[in-house]
Amino acid sequence: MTLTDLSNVRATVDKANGLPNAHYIDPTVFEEEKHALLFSQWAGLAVAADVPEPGDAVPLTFLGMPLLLLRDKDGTVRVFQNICRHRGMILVDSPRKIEGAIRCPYHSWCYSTKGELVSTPHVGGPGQNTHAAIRRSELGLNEVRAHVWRDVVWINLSGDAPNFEIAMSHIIERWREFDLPLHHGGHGSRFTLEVQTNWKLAVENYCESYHLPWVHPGLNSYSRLEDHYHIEEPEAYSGQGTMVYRQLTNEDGDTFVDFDGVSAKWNEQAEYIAAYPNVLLGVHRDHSFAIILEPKGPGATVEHVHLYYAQPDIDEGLKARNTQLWKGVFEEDILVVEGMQKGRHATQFDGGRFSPVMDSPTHCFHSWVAGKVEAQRSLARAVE
Amino acid sequence: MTGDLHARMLAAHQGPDPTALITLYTEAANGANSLDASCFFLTHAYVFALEAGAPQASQLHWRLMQNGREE
Repeated sequence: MTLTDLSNVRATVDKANGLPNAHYIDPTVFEEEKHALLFSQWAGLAVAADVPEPGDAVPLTFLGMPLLLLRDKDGTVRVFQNICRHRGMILVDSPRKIEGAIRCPYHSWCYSTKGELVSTPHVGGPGQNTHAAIRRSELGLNEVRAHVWRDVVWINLSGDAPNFEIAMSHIIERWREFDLPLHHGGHGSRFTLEVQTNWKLAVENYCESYHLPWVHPGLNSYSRLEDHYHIEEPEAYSGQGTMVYRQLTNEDGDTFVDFDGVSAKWNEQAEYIAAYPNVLLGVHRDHSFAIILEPKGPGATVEHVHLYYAQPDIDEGLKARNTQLWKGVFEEDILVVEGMQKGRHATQFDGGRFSPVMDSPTHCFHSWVAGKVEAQRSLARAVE
Repeated sequence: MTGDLHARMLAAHQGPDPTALITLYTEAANGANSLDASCFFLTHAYVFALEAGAPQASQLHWRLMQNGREE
């Protein structure tokens, strides 16, 4: 059964309609998109800074699936399904340090931080810890494909996406200059926003500059609409750039230290890109940020925001000021993303029409969504 | 197992106190009156040592291996 008509979404921007309402409010379409847009792609899950030390483990739920983010004893960030291979029991129920092995709280099967099954107590009877039928080498934790880039932990739950470097090659190449060590600003440089909106509306709002003078009037004094440009890589990402980035200063005129070796092109240029599906990234000469959109349901999203700097020992006051600045900007966006979500319950809304000049980054995203959903529907029809 | 050891084990579980659990289950294994009972307690000591990353884990593993109870 075809849930929605997407035939006009992939038309050219001057003729296209946006995605139908159901893509924002219908639980069945949400479930369909979960697989087409999130499980089958490289989706953002968390940041590596969430598990800074070997043994650090954080249980997470991503679209209903229990996962375990863990830094193994050798420092590699891994993601596992957070369940024991024995009875499917949740292994870790709160963030903690794994000192040695992960012990299932049910029957005490134990796993190394690399996911290997290392102990199966009493599996062959009391005091008999082996059995021919239980091959430990085949019963390690279910590991999820994961890749860390720009400190974001990206996961491919379906396991069949192209390698991350290939899937994300365009944006990796575009920002090659910024492929430098990132230092998370610490506790004060992370915050979350719980927003009553579909995650796609957060993407759509982020990647266009059309709304800036209206929603963020504070930018008008120095960052006018004409100072921005569109960024579009069909099937991969879209966003916006500015040509008038101004460094933040404190009362003494101090600024953040620049990323080492970044060219003069970036002195006043900055870019904001939505890396499909759910990661919003920003780069500047002296700091960057990552926003991971956690879809909680058709009309609910948690935005996890993290700020990064070129060096670990950045002035706390300046960092706090920067956090406040960005938090203010992102909070200003809540009005519109929640308003658009409410608007999706208006039955006569046809997905809307785009400004052919100003909305092409949003249309680029809609086109990607429609393409992925249609591809999945074609596949489903083929196997029927 | 003596009542005192049992009480100390329960207290260690209550904590939980991993170091005490390793010690007490090893003590129970050493005092057990059959190989099966000994390996039962050794298994617990070993699992708690594995979980804690305690150095006793290798020795406990070796003892279980010697009795054909581990791989």
